[in-house]
Amino acid sequence: MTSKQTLPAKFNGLHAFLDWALPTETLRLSKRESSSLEDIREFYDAVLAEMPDIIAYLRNAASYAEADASTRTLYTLMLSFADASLSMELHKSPTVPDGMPWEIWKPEHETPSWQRKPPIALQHA
Amino acid sequence: MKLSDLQNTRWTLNYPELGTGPVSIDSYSSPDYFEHIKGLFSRTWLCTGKRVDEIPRPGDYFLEHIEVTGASIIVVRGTDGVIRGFHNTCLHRGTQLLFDDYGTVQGKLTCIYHGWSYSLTGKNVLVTEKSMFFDVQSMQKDLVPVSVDTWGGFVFVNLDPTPRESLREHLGQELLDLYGDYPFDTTTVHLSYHADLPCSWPVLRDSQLDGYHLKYLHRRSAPRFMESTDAPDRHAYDFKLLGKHGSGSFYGNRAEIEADLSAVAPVAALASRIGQTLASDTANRVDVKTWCPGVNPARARDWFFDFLYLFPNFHIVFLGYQAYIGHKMMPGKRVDQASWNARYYAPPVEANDLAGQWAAEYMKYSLRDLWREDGNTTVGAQRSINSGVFKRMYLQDQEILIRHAERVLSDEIQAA
Repeated sequence: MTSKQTLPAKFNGLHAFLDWALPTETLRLSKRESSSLEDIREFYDAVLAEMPDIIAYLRNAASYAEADASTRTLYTLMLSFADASLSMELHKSPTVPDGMPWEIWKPEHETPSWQRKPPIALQHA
Repeated sequence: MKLSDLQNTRWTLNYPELGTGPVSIDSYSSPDYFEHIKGLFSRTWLCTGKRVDEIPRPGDYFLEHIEVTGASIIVVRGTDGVIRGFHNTCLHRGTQLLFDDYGTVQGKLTCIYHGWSYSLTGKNVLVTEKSMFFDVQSMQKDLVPVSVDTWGGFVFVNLDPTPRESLREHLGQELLDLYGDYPFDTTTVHLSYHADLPCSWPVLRDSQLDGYHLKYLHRRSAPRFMESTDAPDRHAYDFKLLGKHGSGSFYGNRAEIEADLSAVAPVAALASRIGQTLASDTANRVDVKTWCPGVNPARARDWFFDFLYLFPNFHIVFLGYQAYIGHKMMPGKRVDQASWNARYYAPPVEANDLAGQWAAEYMKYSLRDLWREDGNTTVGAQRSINSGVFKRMYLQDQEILIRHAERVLSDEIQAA
């Protein structure tokens, strides 16, 4: 699945980490929780070095819906990087020490039901 | 205000009726007491945590499942724009009318089983093959209503169709005055996590009712955020008991948060600047003097968050001018079962701002992991309670809202 994914040319150096570019929060978290801290560190260090350029790139990109495939892959990789950064910077562990297992804590925002939610429209008081 | 200005304050002593002794854990363990809790949840206002902006158009609906009574409720916006609630029950054979938790219906509710239909005011508008029924006139065939009202854009339900007090009476004037001007209407839900936990509802409720635990339990996920050198044993600027409800306002060490983060947590620091995260300097983004009087009442620069407990089932944690968490805590089918739904609300992030979207996702994952720390404490506490070893709680001054919540629960049950 990931072998066909590509990154914007200027970020090709991160190609080795494309197996982190998983499509859902649940899959990404599952990968983090089952990786070694050493593997997470390798991923974190590599992306961190590119962070300023990546943020600049995202600031100039189109919305996710309109972005090209390589930009979407970069964004998805950055979501996994956010998970990885929590492990490296805060938890110092692939999982949450003293936390309940991630499988218990279910993201309702990833369910099919949530996808059928009516579009939000703020209702000003 | 500095925390050390409050060195001699003991809020609990301002409320002699609360006492200072150990607190009984009857409500955490007794099946008999649980029957009273079930009765309470059948007759009081419950915050669903869903907002009016989530069902903005006629026919938009959500389902609210209230496990403790077994009720499934349809909350739907009518063609007249009014939000109403009904039991999700066809009056013919009891079939559930809607199955998806969210959606939109086209002007009416139609049962999949035999095609009976109801308008969005709950009135039966079609009995199929009507001539084959007997005495149709005397059949009670309109949907069974529940009470629905809103405050701050939150949808509340009360299973009692004729509640003994209005939502505004339930909330009370002081609370309405303190929080009525919070800009809830500029925010919407960003995320929603849910867990069914093997713990009693009061254990879960209490997990978000003290500011004492943050320095310890969340030492990794919110490092040194609440540690004051000025007054190391204090975390709170203020507590208020607001009728059945209560609030607390908490210190945050801004200098520590910002200085340390950029050095040791560069991604956390970056996300906090691009978007709004736990480390963002929210108290400095909009002049605190302009905030509604309930939030950050000390108008402190070193501020982290406030919480507002809405009896019985909802906690709002204010993280900033336009950012807050909602914790919906509900009893399950038994005394040692409960469910927790945590949501985060903020202004919508522009779809074409991918960097902002990324920062919002960072916030999502950091809340998710922090809440896992909270969830873990509840399960172990219930095991201790069920074992009979743990018999009473010793609460310090900054756990006054737990003491108060138990007192209110007991009073409400006795008043019934």
